Amino acid sequence: MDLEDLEILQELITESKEHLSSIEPDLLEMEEKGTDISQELINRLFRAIHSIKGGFSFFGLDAIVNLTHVMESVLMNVRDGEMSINHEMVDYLLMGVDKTREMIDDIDSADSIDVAEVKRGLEKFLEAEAGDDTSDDAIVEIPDDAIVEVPEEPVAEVPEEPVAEVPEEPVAEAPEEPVAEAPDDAIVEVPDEPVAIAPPKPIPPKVVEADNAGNQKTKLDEADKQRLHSSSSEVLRVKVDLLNKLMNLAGELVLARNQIVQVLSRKLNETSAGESLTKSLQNSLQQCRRKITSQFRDMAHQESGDIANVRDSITDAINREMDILSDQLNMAADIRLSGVPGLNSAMVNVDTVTTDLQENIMRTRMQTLGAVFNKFPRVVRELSRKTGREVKLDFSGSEVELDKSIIESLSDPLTHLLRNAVDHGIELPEDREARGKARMGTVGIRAYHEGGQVNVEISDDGAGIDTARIRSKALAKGLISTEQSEKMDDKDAMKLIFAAGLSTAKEVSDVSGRGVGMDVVRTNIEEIGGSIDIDSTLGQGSTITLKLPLTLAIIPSLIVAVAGRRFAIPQVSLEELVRLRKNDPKRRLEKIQGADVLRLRGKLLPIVRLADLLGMSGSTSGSGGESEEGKAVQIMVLKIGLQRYGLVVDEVLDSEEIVVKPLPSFLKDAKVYAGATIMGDGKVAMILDVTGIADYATLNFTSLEAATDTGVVDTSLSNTETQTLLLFHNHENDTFAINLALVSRIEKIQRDKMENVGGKEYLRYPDHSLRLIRLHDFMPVSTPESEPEELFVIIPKLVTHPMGIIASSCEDVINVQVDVDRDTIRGTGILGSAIVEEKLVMFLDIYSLFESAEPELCKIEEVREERHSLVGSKILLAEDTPFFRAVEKKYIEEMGCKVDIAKDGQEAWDLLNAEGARYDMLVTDIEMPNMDGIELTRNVRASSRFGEIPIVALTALSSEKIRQAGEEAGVTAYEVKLDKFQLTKTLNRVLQEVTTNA
Amino acid sequence: MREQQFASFRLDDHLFGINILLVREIIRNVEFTPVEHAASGIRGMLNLRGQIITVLDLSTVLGLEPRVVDKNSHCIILKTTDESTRVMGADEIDDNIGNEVIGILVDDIADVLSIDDEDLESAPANAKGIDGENLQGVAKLDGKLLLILKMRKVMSHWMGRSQSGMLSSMKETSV
Repeated sequence: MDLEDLEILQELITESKEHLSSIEPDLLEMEEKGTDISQELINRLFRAIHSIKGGFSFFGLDAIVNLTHVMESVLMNVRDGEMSINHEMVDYLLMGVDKTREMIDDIDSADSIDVAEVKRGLEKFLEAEAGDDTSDDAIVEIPDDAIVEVPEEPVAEVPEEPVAEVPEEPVAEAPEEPVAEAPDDAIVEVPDEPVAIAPPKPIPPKVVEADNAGNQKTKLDEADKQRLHSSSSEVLRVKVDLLNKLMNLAGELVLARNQIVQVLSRKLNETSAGESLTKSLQNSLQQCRRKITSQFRDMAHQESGDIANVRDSITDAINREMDILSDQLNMAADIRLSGVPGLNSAMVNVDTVTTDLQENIMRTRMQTLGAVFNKFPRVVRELSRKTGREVKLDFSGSEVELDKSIIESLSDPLTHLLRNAVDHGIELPEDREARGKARMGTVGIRAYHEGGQVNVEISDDGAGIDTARIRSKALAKGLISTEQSEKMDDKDAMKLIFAAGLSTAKEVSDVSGRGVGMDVVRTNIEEIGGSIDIDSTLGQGSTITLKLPLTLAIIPSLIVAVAGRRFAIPQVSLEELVRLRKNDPKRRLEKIQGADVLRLRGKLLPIVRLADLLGMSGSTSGSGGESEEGKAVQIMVLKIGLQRYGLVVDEVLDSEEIVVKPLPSFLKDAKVYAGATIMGDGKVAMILDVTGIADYATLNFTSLEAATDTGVVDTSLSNTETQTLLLFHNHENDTFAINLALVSRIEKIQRDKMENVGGKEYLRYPDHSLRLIRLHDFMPVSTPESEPEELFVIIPKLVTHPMGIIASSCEDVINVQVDVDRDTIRGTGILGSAIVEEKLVMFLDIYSLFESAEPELCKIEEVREERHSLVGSKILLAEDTPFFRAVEKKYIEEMGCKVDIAKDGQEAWDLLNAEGARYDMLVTDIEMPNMDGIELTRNVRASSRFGEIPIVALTALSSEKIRQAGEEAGVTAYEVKLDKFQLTKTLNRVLQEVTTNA
Repeated sequence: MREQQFASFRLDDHLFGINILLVREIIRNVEFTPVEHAASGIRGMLNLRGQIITVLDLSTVLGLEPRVVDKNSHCIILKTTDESTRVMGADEIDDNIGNEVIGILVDDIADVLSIDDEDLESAPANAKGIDGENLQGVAKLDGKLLLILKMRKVMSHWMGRSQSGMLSSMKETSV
């Protein structure tokens, strides 16, 4: 076989594999639809098989040709309505797909693969069909049927293939047939596979092409044409190797860019240092000159002629020398200062281009989830038949894209979860009926983007998880103590299925259903930087949610240092940073059972000292280390699944996007590392493996949980009424507080990094800039006399147009129970005040602050006009958190409404039911004690008296799942807490709709 | 008559040689990042133009004291097996190091020596305290003995423990 042929064969193999992967779901769809199958589906199937057959017959690979020929014949009969589809037939066809794939995978020994059984199975159908006719007749019949059909059907495509099909022997059809067929197949295949790439094909004679195109026209809609067009001219196959290489190179470029930026900024610093040095030199030169001159002048009084002459010439000489010196200094400074003109702007360019390039190359590695999802229908089909379940598989989001490597490592865990859902989730049809459910269970897979991540949900409407059983098993296994089991709520108990000890035990899976290898699934997901969560209602079903990163090659991470060495920690594993000041009695490390622990919000966290773990000396944070007096302890709270631990380091340096390099195989035994990366200065830094560290340190999470739960720890702080507040300063006398739930992030910046444009200050990011505001510009608070070089920028979330709030220092993050007093201190941007830790603290109202900073942006005027339908309405507000309650009440009142308050769902329910009560709208939180927002909504909707009331649900985080639950319960609209602008709009819209409908 | 070239270097008082066809380059940059928890003899990781290289200290294998880095220290970067087999004639040297890029830490480098095949002698069981197992052969120079390393054997010290498992597929594909 010459080289060209080899290449064509290679193409054919790739293409045939694509066909095979599309045949599979199509077969399943065909089976499901039964007699109701569309002509298009069966044609698609037929064509796919046909082009595989045609292609391989060109190469004389009879084994493949013979098998596909039989499959084709069966499909042809189905297409022509001469055979009806049944399970057995689909079974054999699927087996045929498998065998074909096997042969294509190992083309050299294709002949040795045993296909007799499949062929026999399929031929049985053909023979049965032939019955009175011979099979020859059957084939001859086809063109007749087809031709008769033509006038009735606008589908112009029919005559072609059957006619081309007439030769019965695969051998006879060999040489020119595939060539003539080629453009036809390639074109038709495209519409059902948007990602499919049309391979280069031998170019057919012009005439044929025109003819085919003419025939096709009637079948293609606009979208198809577009795809067709783009796939034939703008897509090409690229080797993964090459992409990986490009990806690597882009990574290098990013590193190189970072290095240049570092060098450049050092240079600029030097330049400015040089400038001030020159200035001070000039100054001292001037001073020297003045002193000498005046000294000589003083001497002049006591001198006579000769000496005076000498003195004058000396003075002249000194002056001359000094002039020269000063000139040279200036020259030197000029040279330093001028640097390379235009370098800075060129650098900015390089910077953006590099970022763009990197992003785009990363995108070339993206694949759709469809690649994984496609094989699921078959998995479900086989499993449901094996287990006697009736299961319908629903999936959405196949088009969501993820990095190739993530897609590849998702396949196993997802299949596992799917198996679990069918095998253990969905009940037997009889049981389902007995419970009043539909015989057929539903398993759903949904993928969607949320907050820069991709969520994949696997849900079933089966039996749900029996937490009582899990509890008892976990107890029996000694994973939890009796007290723990009692204290544990159902949600926590459910999460036990991810625990290693529970799930690997075989008998547990037999009893509780779920859980074979759930810890393995969890590990797999966490390995690719994702997380897993479960929700289940007994008797109603379960949902497992995976949160996945978009890509792995470049990850945001935190750079920390121990003993002068840097390490990177993936940001996904980082929950929070805790800084313990020395001699702070309230917050310190304690010892329990001889091990360090951190008391954090009523929980005890085990502590690992990185210096000890790695056996490094010279650290300030190791246990035996020469801890500096008064130095704060830096703890990173890291998460693994449900567990948390603290990692103590010397210093927290910076957060950076790092390029992950795999570890050499020599280091695979060192489990504490996840990889390596190259820092801006060219040095290598190790990436820490959060799970590996916990394993190595053999952390004992359970005994600590026991300690937490048995009251060793004061848990009074962790009830729902506490708030987490960020305390910070602007002027040193003023302390401000903002609820941490409202803070997206805090950044430390150098003052000179701020840019002043049009009298406003901005912080520039690679792709956008952030407006910065100083509190004293907009609020009645003191203006600081001086500003430190380093400032903090607090960036709030849940706002339409975020702005950064400048703080001179951040004091602390605390958990307190606090009631905001709204009367003592008032003014723009102030929500109220409270005494926190014996200090008067002002609570920020970021919305009114932003409004006054950027009235244009907040478009508050527009909202005011829209308000008319709100004015005078009576609104019931259910919210358990006092802080949110105060804020929301204020906002709604500002809209001109009357507000009644309920502290939880139950209270709201009582108020609604009260004698003579009448509300225009219910605004409710979702998460509340006693009766939550969902339950409240359900109850309200069931009421005859006020069932029609519009309900707006509020939540602190926009979760798709909660939104869905809310919608199912009957929530009218849904809004994110504390976005005043949006809230006003939504309330207004809802009321307006109600009025219009009434 | 066939002649082979060897890059020679010093470890303590010994003069070692590595077939030049196995050497990619020699660098003076020995600013590697030490790696804790690594097997003995693995000194750290080095960034060579964006590629991360494992720096090995052969001393442990050869029965010498660990190297102390000083101003004469060099790092000899070796070709991976894939790279060296691409070179013509490399199959004749009957040696390779596997497919991780490594650098070996040496006290100082010396000349590249051309040696006639007939001057090469097979390694004795013990050549000046160095186990002959690790040697391809020796060559007598004027008053000096050149110990030619059998890198495949030397590397097996580290490779043995890393053959199984390798990296998880995720880490490999994410490159």
